[in-house]
Amino acid sequence: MATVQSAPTTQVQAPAVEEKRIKLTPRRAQILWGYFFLIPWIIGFFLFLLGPMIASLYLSMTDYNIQRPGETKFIDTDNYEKIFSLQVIRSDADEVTFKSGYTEAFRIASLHFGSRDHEVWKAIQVTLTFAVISLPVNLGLALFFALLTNTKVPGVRLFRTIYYLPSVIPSVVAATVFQQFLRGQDGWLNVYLLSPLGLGSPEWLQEPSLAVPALTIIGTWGIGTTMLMFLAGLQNVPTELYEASQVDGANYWSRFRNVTLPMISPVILYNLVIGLIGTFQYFVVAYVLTPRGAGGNDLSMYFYNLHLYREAYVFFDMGYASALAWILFIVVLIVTILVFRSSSRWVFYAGGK
Amino acid sequence: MERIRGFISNDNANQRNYMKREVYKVIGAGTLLMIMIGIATVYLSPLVYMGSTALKTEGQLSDPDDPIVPMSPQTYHYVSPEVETFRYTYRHPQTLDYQGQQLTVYEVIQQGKIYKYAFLETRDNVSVFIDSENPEAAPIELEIAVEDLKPALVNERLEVNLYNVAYEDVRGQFGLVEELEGNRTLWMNPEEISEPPFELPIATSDAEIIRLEQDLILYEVPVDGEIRELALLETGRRGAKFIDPENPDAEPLELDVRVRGLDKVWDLDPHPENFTDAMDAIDYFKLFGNTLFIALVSGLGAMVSATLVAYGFTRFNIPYANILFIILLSTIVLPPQVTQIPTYIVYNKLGWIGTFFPLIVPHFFSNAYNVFLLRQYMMGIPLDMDEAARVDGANPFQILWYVIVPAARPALVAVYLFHFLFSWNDFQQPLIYLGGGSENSVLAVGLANFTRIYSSQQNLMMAAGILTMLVPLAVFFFAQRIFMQGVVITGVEK
Repeated sequence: MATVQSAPTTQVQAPAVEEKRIKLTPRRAQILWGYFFLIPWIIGFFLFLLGPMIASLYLSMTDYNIQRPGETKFIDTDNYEKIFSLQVIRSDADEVTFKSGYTEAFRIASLHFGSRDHEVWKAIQVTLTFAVISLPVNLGLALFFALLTNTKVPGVRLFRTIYYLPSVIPSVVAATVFQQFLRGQDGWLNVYLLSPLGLGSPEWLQEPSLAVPALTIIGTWGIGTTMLMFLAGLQNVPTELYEASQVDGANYWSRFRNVTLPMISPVILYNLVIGLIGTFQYFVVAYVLTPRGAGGNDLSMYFYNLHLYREAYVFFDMGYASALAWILFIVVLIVTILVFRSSSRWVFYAGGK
Repeated sequence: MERIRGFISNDNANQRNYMKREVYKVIGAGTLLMIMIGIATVYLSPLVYMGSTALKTEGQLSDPDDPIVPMSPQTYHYVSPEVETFRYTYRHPQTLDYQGQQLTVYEVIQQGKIYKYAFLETRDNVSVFIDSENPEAAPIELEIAVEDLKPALVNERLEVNLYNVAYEDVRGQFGLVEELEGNRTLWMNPEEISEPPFELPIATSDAEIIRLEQDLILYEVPVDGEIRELALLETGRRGAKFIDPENPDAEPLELDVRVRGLDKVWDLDPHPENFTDAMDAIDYFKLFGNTLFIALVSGLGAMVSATLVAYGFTRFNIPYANILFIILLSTIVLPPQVTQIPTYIVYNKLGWIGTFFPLIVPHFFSNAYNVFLLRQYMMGIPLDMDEAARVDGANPFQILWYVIVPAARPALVAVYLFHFLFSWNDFQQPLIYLGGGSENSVLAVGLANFTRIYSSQQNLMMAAGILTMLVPLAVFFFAQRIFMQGVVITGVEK
């Protein structure tokens, strides 16, 4: 870092205006210059982040609708109550009557759960299922690819490029391709891979129970960035460690567990956090695959962010959508903090931090 | 070293161990290579699908045997010895051949019944007729004037041969009804069967007979132990009839084969016109221009603002820099949805909805990822260079421009390219700010609309998809190194 003792001549070049008003010490000038260069971010922070955040928090307590701004009322925490409203009725009947305004959200055996916004529960369920299935698959596969391309096989750079390539393809294009690639009768996955293996021809995008697996498959097409991170992490593992473990007679698996995994655990943490944030905001593919974000059969692809989008920009119910956005933010924040908290137990910093 | 030691020392066990390790190494590398090729194949298959589908017609796609490469079954144009005929009901006055004379037959009503009598002659006001159904019987004499009688018409069912006729301004495909005397012929038009036939002063040999022609699909048929390319004429209950294109005049070959089990003979048949069709359908050049403009301009904003902020963070020893930087980084966690709604309302008030401003302006205020990447890079640029410049009397802007920017050029390019790509591929923001319609939107939104509307036309969809990702792919291939290193710079230090 540049420090104070660096040349008293500096101030000569400081802007003349500032120089006249206050006698600037070099240190002072440097601080002012420093903040001066941060201006774009500081303005952006207030204009596009902090300001909108506060506005959004306020909006979330109103019933603001952009088509009827005149009728806006302050409704306190009612939007949040609407999100979490839940009425449980125990009944063996197929249809039960809930309080007024409540409709059935989901059902577990004889327990019927009703809510004022039954779609939000479906959206939460879909999003969480997707996170639980897709994240480990992506991280595992990316690590596997990184291990593969961290070897000294001829042409390994070409393979790196090939595995990274789909990451630069627009998500809309990916969704469009996979819409056809995953078709039941003539989709290539079924025709060329699953049918020859005797695994039948599932209707990936029609069958509600296959929706999340299908989206997971689509997601694995874009793990290039994660793979490169892992690769960089692997290349940073000092070779002495491997040599030492080899002397100890460790086999590949124990070397992987006891040397590789701890050494790249910071990268795993990074990828996990970035992956979590991305998964909670999953949108494009689900929007394109279910025309105009309708959610697909049985709402099996109805993600939280899709619900938020529809409330805000289809129904223009922006007060309620703001509340949804804040819940999303809080959940992401809590999960991230939990991951970082737990990280002291499983992330190993070579620097001893 | 290992190798030399192994050979120098005559220790057999050592050498054997060495050989063993070497063999394992080769086998291991081979297995790895196979796995990697397998994954690469799976990974590239959607792209192959795009390319192949975009070059096919809907007809090719609906063929259940459709191969990956855009091909069509090869056909053989078969001209059969049979001629093309037309079923024609020829309605004409009935005549009777009576002792070498052509007599006209009339309808004669007698005692409430209609008789068909051929008129022979008139004798003293008496008409003499021959019964057409019984010409051997004696002539019948009736006191009826022939002029008062209706000639009997007969419906003759013919299968007329079709000819290509060209005589003066009479041209077309006509059926030959009758050959008349003196090189004259009677024709009918199959397209106007209610019209009476017409005469032409030409002989039959002046017209060209139309033979049965059809395009037959070629199959690879095993015949007597060798595979021959034969054209399928018709499928029967047992086996099928084939024509040998090398010997088309021979009798069709009747073979006892199952046609469904045979391979067709395929011919390369790509249809690049799908791309122009897709371009017309999504107003490609306009959307392309919009997307490019937004990506270029907002990329500039992202790069310039991130450079300034990263410079501020790395080169000036400002208080609370670490806290500020942590605040900056923590904004990564904030879902954009939180700030989107109020900013949307503000943009709406400003009249910016439907314009490119919301997609460009915010990027001039830097973003966490870019600042992070540039900060990491700038920290690696030695301080002595700007110290030297400072001693020479350069102000911070000059130092930035003449020292930092040249030294950080790879990182700057990486930021620009990353942002360019992000902007090009972005979908949610244009969808919200430019609306779901495709008139004045970007390619990604246009493609999504196209996908919804033309969901049955896979070929056009894939062509549009390729057109959308052309630029990102080109950028990636030209700047591959910068890309793959840039990703790593962001990741490693964290």
